[in-house]
Amino acid sequence: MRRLVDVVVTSILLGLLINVGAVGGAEEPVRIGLLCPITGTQAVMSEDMLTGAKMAVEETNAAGGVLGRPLELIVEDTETRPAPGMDAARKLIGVDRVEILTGGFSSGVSLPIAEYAQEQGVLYVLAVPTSPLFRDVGPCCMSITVVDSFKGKAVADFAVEDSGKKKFALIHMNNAFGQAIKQVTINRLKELGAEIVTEVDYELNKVDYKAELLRLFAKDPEAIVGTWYAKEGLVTAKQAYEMGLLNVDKVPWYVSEITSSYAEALDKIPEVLEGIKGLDPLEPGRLFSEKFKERMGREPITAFAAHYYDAVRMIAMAINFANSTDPAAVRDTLFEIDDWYRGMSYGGDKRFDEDGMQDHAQFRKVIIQNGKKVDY
Amino acid sequence: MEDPTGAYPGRRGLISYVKLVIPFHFLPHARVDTYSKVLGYYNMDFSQIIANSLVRGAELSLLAIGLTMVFDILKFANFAHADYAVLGAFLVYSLNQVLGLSLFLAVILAAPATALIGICIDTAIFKPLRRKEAKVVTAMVCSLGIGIALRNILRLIWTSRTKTYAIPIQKPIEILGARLTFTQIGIVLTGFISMVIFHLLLHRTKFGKALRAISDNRVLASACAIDSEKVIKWMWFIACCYGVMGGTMIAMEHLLYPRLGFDILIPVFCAAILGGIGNPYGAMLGALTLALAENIVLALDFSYLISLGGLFEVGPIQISTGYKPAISFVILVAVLLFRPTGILGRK
Repeated sequence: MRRLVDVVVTSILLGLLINVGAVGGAEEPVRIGLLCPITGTQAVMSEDMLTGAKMAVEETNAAGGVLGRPLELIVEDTETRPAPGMDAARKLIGVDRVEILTGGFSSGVSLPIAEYAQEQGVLYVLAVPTSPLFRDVGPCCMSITVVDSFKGKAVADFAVEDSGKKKFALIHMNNAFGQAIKQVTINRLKELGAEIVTEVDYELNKVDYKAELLRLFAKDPEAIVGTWYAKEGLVTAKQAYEMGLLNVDKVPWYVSEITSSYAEALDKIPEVLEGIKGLDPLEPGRLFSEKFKERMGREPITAFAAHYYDAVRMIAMAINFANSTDPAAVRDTLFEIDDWYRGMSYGGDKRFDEDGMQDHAQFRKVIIQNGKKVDY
Repeated sequence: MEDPTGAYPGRRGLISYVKLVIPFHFLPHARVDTYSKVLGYYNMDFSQIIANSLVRGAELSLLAIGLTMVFDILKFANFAHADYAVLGAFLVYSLNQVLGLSLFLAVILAAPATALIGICIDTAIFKPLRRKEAKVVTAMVCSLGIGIALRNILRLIWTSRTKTYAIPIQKPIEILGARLTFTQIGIVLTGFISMVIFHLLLHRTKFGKALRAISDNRVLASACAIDSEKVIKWMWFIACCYGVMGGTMIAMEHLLYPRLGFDILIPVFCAAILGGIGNPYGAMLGALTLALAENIVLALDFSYLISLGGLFEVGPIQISTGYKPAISFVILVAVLLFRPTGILGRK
């Protein structure tokens, strides 16, 4: 009996040793951290964005990986809220020891993360957040998406040019993204000679926006300019309609970003949104869309899927060219490859300016007709 | 509807007319003008504000009643109460969307099902705490934990994606100058009828008497052969059923998602405390007061007051809508300063 026990114990120990040896000998993947709003107010788009990032990883690994090793994403949920977002970043940087972060969604959530990454010397390549405040964070913060200074100006130009109206009411979320885009929009509207009759800021994650809507329409504006996240966009559009305030023939609505504002509303109450106009990121590249459709059996609901794809692809290329995962080396290399990397998002031009932000802006003007976004 | 001063044409609503025009119809022009300005007449749509507040008040009060009942009998604030309501609203969603039952039938089935879950949680967690005479704070922390667990279970079962019931989007109809949908009218009526039923339950039934007896003095009630544990079970049943109705109404009006309970918890607590925690009528009054206050304060234009009655020219001064969540708390603190037990709270 004792011999039997000895044999079993020895076998187990040997088995463990063999396993340890096998793990130690395997190619250690190169890991980068991906922050994504898997839950929370923008959860509806997370599946697309994660798919975009995974497609980039698979393509990279199929082409030999990075530094001869496989690329691996460690995905953490920001819940589209600052505190869980910071927890996720601390875990990625402190526990998983990643040197490069990417992804992100809301500027309000991503700004403290970018500042923390800067402190820790970790490179954060933003895939979607757009606040101009990221410019001031430091060299560890880069963005492959268009900053709000372009977007706010573009929506003001569109609203004034298209409507010919002079009295505008504005509605934006009370966070870094909303306030930054609001300020740029106000400045541009004033430059164009328009009057701002009302500015409404709203809090996220509320279930009732009727008081905000009453305020928005209190001074009889001729047109509305605003932006939302998916959940708030759905509630606000529904409540405005039910209060008889959503009548775009009388008071047209212009939205800074149709997809992120109405991703849920387009699915659930498309008839209410009829005639709302706004801007949207350029459609993802055809190649990306086809691969996405092949994989998911549907078109991406948001162009941000391609943003995540581009961010991961660019980081992988930069690591290979830099022959290192050192954040400073990867950042320098990103500046070198941006000229010739042809992306799948925002028309493919991924050139950075001196702050590591995108130095150009291209949007498409869209209108919601028959429950769908169409070019305007 | 014309402004009596003639200066601000185009205001809407019969209630605006009743409130602003009739009382001052025979007064000199300047007096009407002053009254209008102090109340921010430029920007208020009274009828709509009152209608919105009634809808919000009806939703919140159904939840606040349950919260206040639990506090009255068990002497702790149940932080999981709003999550019970959302659990019920999700059950309604499944019965409505998956099984195709009507919303009414779905609520009839989901409310007792949620109540049973509530009773099971009480039996498994709160009852042992009562037996061990645990401190109130222990029960409160447990309820906080139950709330978090429930939220995550909801997320696991129904995912984080927002849900809506199968109700077609409705065009509003105009009632006394306010625009309301049939759903909103139904919410207000359901809220009102539920309150009447609750009143009858409390004052015309044996259960109501037993509940009030336990609330006053549990030991004495037990001495009078009242089975307090049985009454507590029924209390959970009613609190959960009312919660499910409130949660479903909020989900009908807005959206349904696992974190909804957390998002509505603070207004529900504010309503219960404002009215006087432990008093069901206070909960109703608190909910309505809170809803009215939020809407009216945001609509007020303070420029007339700030300019000391028009002594100098200032632009419109309104509280930014970004401060809306703070309004509830400022009102709560202001009321508690004068009445520390709440509007209808017992001293």
